[in-house]
Amino acid sequence: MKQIVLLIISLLALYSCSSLNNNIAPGYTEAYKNIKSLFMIKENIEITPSLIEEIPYASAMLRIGKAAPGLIILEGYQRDEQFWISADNVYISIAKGRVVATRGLPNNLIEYKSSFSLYEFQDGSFPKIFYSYYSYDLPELINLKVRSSISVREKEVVDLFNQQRTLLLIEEEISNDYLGWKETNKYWLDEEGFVWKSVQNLSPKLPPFEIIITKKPAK
Amino acid sequence: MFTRKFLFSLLFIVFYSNLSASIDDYFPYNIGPSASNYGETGLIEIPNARFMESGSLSFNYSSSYPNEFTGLTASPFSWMEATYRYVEIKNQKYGQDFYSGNQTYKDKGFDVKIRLNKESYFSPQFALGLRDIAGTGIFSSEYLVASKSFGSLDLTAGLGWGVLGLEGNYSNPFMDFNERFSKRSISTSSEGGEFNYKDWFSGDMSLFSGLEYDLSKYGLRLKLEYDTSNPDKVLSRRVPLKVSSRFNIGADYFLSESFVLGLAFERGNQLRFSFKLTGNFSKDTIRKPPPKNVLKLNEGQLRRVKENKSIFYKSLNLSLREESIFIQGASLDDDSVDVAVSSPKFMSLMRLAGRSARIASALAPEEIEELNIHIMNGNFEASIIKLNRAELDKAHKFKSSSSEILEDTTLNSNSSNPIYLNADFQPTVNFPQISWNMTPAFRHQIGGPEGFYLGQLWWKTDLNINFSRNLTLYSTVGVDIYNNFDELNQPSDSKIAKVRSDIQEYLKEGETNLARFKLEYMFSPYKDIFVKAELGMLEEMFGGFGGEIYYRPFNRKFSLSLNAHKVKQRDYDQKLSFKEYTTTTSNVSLYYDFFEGISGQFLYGKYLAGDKGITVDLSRRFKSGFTLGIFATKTDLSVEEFGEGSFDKGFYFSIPTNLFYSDYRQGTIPFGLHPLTKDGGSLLNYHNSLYSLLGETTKKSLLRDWKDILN
Repeated sequence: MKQIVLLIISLLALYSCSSLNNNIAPGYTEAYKNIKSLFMIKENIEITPSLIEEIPYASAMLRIGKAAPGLIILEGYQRDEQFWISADNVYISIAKGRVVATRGLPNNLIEYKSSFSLYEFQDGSFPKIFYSYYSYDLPELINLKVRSSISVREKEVVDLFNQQRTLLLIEEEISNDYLGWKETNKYWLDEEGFVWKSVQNLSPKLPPFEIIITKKPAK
Repeated sequence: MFTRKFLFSLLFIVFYSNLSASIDDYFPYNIGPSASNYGETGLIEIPNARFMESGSLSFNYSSSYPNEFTGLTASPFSWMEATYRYVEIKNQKYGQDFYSGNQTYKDKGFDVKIRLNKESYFSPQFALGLRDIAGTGIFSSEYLVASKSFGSLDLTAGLGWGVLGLEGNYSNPFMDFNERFSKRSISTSSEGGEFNYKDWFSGDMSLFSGLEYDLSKYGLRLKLEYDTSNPDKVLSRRVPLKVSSRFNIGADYFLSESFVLGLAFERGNQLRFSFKLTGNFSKDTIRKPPPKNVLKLNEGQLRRVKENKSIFYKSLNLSLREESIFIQGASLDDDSVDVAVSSPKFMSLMRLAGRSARIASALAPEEIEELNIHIMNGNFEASIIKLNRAELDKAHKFKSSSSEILEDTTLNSNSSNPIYLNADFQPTVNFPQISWNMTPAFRHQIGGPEGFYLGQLWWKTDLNINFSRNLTLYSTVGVDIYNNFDELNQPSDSKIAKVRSDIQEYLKEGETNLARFKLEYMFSPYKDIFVKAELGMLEEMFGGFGGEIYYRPFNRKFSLSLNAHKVKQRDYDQKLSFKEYTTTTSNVSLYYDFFEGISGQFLYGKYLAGDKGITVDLSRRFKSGFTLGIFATKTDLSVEEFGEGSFDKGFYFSIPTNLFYSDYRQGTIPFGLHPLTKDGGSLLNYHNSLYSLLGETTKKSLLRDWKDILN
């Protein structure tokens, strides 16, 4: 047993050979920080409500997977599509609350096609089940057929970073049987159908995107 | 009859193929190559013609009765895999009770597999492999294998010799060419370590085959194989096993791209559990922070900089520090600026140069046309990069590219006259500078007869004192926390000077030790010539004095090193006393950069035990800095004088630390293995070898990393 414990610790100790800055057990300290960062959701303490207020543009908080949230700024419009950009040049296109394209990520949604939009969900006139088509780059895949099943949940109070609002939660179960891809997207909408917060799964190769609108676009 | 039909059916199907749809790239589980019990890419007992991606490294463990395999497999190229492996054979003892107690037998082995062609629409992929080529030969096999995929189905069929050919279901065609192929000396080598190439592809031959089917949706790979290794056959050094079926079945579950669990049912009566940890270290897949934005100076600030250069130097110093770049000297002239920089952060010298130049350009007066970045490595000025400022600024605005910058750049070196000696601005450095760090560390002895793993937890403290830029005192003290070295009981029976084989005495008596205590002086007397002199306890087993002269022509692919030391063997307790043995050891090395990141070291010299010979070290360095290497030493000692292993050999790899982090940093995680600690072919453990400091500072290395100049 002693041998096994020593062997396991020794494998970890490979890190001790690396040259790092701290004085005491630098390799272990750095390895611990790194492992911790893998399992903990990172907080971004640099973004404050006052900072958001000072920025003259519409803004949103974007968190991809467990990465630290970052601020994205509305760069422009084209019809219903809004183009948001982050400080590290990740572009997100949002149409009626749904992310319809991304750019600058290791794998990107290049097109989203569906005949239904989130705005139609509130009045109950939408179909409970419908199909959408997702296209990607890196690697390229055209028109992945995804089944959506919609459930309208109850209204709830949602923390929007710099404010609280009572919003309607709509859940969308998406799935592709061939890939075995099954996820749940969540959208929180106000009475006008505006999506203030969402958690969206865009690709089997990307972690979920959490988007919170911190300053609503003018139109 | 059924078996033959089955095998031929598989072979027939192998010559068909299909196309795989790109949607398969989007399965939630990424099913990659999986390992055989032996570690190479394969099925269960048999190999296939598949390979891991170039730059991959995997740790494989596979346990059953009686054989438990533990190995490391590396793929230095997309067409090659090499495996080093320990096998615990649980139904055999290591030796007699008085020698090794109850310990089971452990066998070391080395395998290699080479791809002969790539799979195409019509033809399968072929590979040629050798198993256990320099071990005792218990598992030695040779094979020619083909694999062909049909969507999720991958079929494999091959011809095996040695252990893989034991079924002998086909006659060996090589017998027609030479009678020696008719018989194989199945008796294994007692010493091991020799390449028994005369036995290769000789003796019985078998046709083996198998299939794998991927259920990508569930992250599963199912395996079925026909095993021709006949474990029930009586062989020297092998206890026959009961075999209920020649078919083995198994399944691998891909928990992630890098972690695979396996379960198999072998011989119709035995379960096997396995796992594989793998990583591709050839690329850095974690995003790193871009260069920090530096605000350009306004007109008023630029005017003040021209009037008072110290403002420029202070601003430069401050801005560079924010990037963890440390200025060693700077001179602002009428149309050029020279900056000497060093950094503990960036492994790529071009990234260090690019970020330094970006900051210098933002702060320099408009008249400056040329940015000269002097790269320091240690205390040496290793290279000078003369950049055209206008082209660099254009590239930062996406109006030019790194290639266009290169056209207007000069790469040079002037190591004997570093700028920091005569620079207009020289930061004050107060000597002596003291640096230290302490950390738990480990020492180990693996695979000995007393126990598979013996080790020590050790508190290691490094204290370095820089008396000047050139003169440094290095010391390393180790304090024992816990060890089980008391179980070591195999004194060296070496027939030559015991320069390394007394390792057990050093480990036992030197539990708490002074591992290093040496004074080192380095300088560059002429351009591209570097000198190091050292004195003291140079390493754990030897103290003395000596030095190295290193010639590194900046523009060439080769470099030369001359090492010479007069050393005395240290006492086992590794304090300040010595044993009687004294020797002079010296060698000359030629380092050469080939292609595809392959480097070679060719060393000729006199080794610690007085033997003379050559060491060849071949390694491949990937763009990420990940390095894989092998080495071998052959000296004028006879095989009998050298003992087990016949000649010294081993392998190593080094993984850059920054591959695991989201920011840049220097440092590597090194790992090296000598299968046996022998006296023949032993070199001093050179600390701070000049090649390790300067080998990556040549023009070729800078050009390799040139694209980093813009990020």
